[in-house]
Amino acid sequence: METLLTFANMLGNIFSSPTLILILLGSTFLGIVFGAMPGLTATLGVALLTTLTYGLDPQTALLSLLAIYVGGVYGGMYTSILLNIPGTAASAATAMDGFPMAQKGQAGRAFGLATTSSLIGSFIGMIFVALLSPWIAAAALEFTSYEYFLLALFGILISGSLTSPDLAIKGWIAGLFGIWLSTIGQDQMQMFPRFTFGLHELDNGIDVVPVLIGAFGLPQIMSVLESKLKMGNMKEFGRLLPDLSTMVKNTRNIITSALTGVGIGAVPGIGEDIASWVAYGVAKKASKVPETFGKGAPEGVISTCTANQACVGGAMIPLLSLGIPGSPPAVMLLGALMLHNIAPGPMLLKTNPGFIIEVTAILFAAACAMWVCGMILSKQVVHILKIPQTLFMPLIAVLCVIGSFALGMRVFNLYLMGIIGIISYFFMKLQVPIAPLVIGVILGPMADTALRTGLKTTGGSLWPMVERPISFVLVCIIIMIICSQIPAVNRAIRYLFARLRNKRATA
Amino acid sequence: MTEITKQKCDLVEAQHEDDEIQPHQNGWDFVFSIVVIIFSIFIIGNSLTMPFSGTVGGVSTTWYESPGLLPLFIGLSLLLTGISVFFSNKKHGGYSLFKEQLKSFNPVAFLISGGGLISYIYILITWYDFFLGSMAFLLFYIALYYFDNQSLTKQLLKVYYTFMVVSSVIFLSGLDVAINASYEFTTDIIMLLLSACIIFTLYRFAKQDPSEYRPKVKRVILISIIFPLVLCPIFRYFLLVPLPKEGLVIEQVLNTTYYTYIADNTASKEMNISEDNQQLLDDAF
Repeated sequence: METLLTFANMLGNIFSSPTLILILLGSTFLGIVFGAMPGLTATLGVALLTTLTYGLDPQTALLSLLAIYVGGVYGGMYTSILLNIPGTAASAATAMDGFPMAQKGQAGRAFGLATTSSLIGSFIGMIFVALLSPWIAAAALEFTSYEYFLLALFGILISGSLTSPDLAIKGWIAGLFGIWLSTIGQDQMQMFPRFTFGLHELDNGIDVVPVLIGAFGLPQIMSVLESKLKMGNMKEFGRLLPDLSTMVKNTRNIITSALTGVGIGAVPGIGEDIASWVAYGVAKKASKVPETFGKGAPEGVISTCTANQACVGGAMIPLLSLGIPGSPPAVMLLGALMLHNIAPGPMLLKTNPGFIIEVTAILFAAACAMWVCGMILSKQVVHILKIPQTLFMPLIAVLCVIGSFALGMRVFNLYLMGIIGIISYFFMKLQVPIAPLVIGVILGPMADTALRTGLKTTGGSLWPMVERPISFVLVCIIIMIICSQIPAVNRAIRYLFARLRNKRATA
Repeated sequence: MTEITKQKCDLVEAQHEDDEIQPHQNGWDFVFSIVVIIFSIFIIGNSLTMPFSGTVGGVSTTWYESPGLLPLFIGLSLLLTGISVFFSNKKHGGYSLFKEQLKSFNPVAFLISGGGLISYIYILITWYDFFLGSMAFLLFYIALYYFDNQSLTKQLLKVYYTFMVVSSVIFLSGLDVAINASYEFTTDIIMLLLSACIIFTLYRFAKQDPSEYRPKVKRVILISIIFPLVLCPIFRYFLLVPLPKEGLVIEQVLNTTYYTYIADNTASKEMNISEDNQQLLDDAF
């Protein structure tokens, strides 16, 4: 009852204030533009808006940032449906059936389905945030230092494995590099300067926001400008219709896709792109007419859009309950929350008990704003998409620079952003994922303190790691992840399985 | 089939499956792995210089409390991963692939896009008025990609990098102190000159096909001026963020205009304080 009251209060606060409504709609619209514009991402949108929301109170800032996040994830489908060019990686799967639908003259229907299924996906994600986050956070209160260290390690390894386009080890390298970056400066326990190279600017460590902007922004700008991507002529999409009968027919598809989205979103560092592809695959497999997929099947559009938005809620679960971001934009959100002196994690239940419900209410409001903007302002977004990217991207570069400077007011942060930007550019070209790098930067301090505190408490013994059930499970998972990348181990496992198969066959 | 032959077959099958799942190899991974190995050795070396025993700042430390523990762990992990990538790459002919890819390697696109951003961050923002630096950067960077013309790109690169070299010489040699001796923002005139040169280059280029290029040139100039003109007041007066360098435009034009005509009026209206108190407040700052 108290939960519902907090939820209603928060919604009442938002919808009774014209300023907050304006911020909500404005941020969502901005998010949609960021998502729709190929090259700009929801992550970059959240990164750039963090600077502008610094002066606002935490709730208003969070409202604005979550709205841009939700809008950014949704906006990607505009160019996917109209041009077959995904606005974000997350919407690439939507193009599979969205574009053929547009070619058949059903762009309006595709938009209606995508918008409504995104709304439903958001709601389901939101319900899971409200139900699971407090439960996980309460369980996490029992965690000791070793569990936190293992969780950080698990987050980096799993995001490295799943986001790497080729070798998973390259993802791990990015994560380890991120942790190394976080060790720069005086350590938190003994104030010993590490890797400062005599530079006093590095004594307090590196600021997270310039690293995030450098890692996500600069390589994106450079690669978009180098690719000289030109937008083609967009299809007319006529009237936007929320095709309710098709939605009702796809109830099972929606629920499966939403659960897929929430599940994948909850895994640290894995974003909406993977969720939408997995949901697309599941929907195709479950469909009675899988041959229609890729030729303009509404089920394809519904499954991907539902999973995309459910993933936003999923990504918030580990962020709020454990302080571990579930997706790249959630990394940025974590950075923003830290700037506002809110430390997500299990202690949130004690320090700010209503926060998770407030976030749920904000997600609800953002989803409603997304639907309204999607239904009413779609044509305006399409007009904005006609602006050439060559005019847009240099302006984003200036915003990245001022954004990195504004939070610490240190020119050194700009130099740092430049270096990280160039390194991330090379990572991008070498197909080394950037998400584990930033997750490493965020989780590094936690890993450092937790490892040393754990060892200090146990007098240098690692034994408690396998004595406690949760840490034992984490150790097993980490070993499995590592072993999965060792060819000899893989071979041995396959050999064993093959022998078992043969034995069974002979039997 | 005997048991041993069957086992061999299984092993070959497993090996074959393993080869099949090997991802596409990039020749540059060869260099990447070497860089990772060298970097990890640097981290390990540096970590070992950190105290693992004895006292740090009067506090006794043991190996498990050492500030070098996590860096050492990272260094060792990076070393192992680097070696793993190296051998995986070598196994799939990474070195020969790298040599092939090196022949077709063309860094021009990176040098242009990266060079523009690097010069903006490390030269323009550091040494010049933020408004002028951003304007010059936008003029150069937008024109470079918006027109997408090879001859114009060459001309723009020449103009822009000549100014970058001149700027580096002036500021690194300390000449800026002498130049700014009589008027502290004299060096900002260099940015005005750069902007003028870029605009001149653009108009000269537009003569080739005035009907097509003139409107584009006007658009570039307008965006390059209006964008920083909107951005600077938002950050300077709304978010109260002093800009990285305030000079000829921000200090002399924007700050003067704002504090003389806008801020004073608002402040006196809001605070409603006496002249004596106002004087005290002014003295305090």
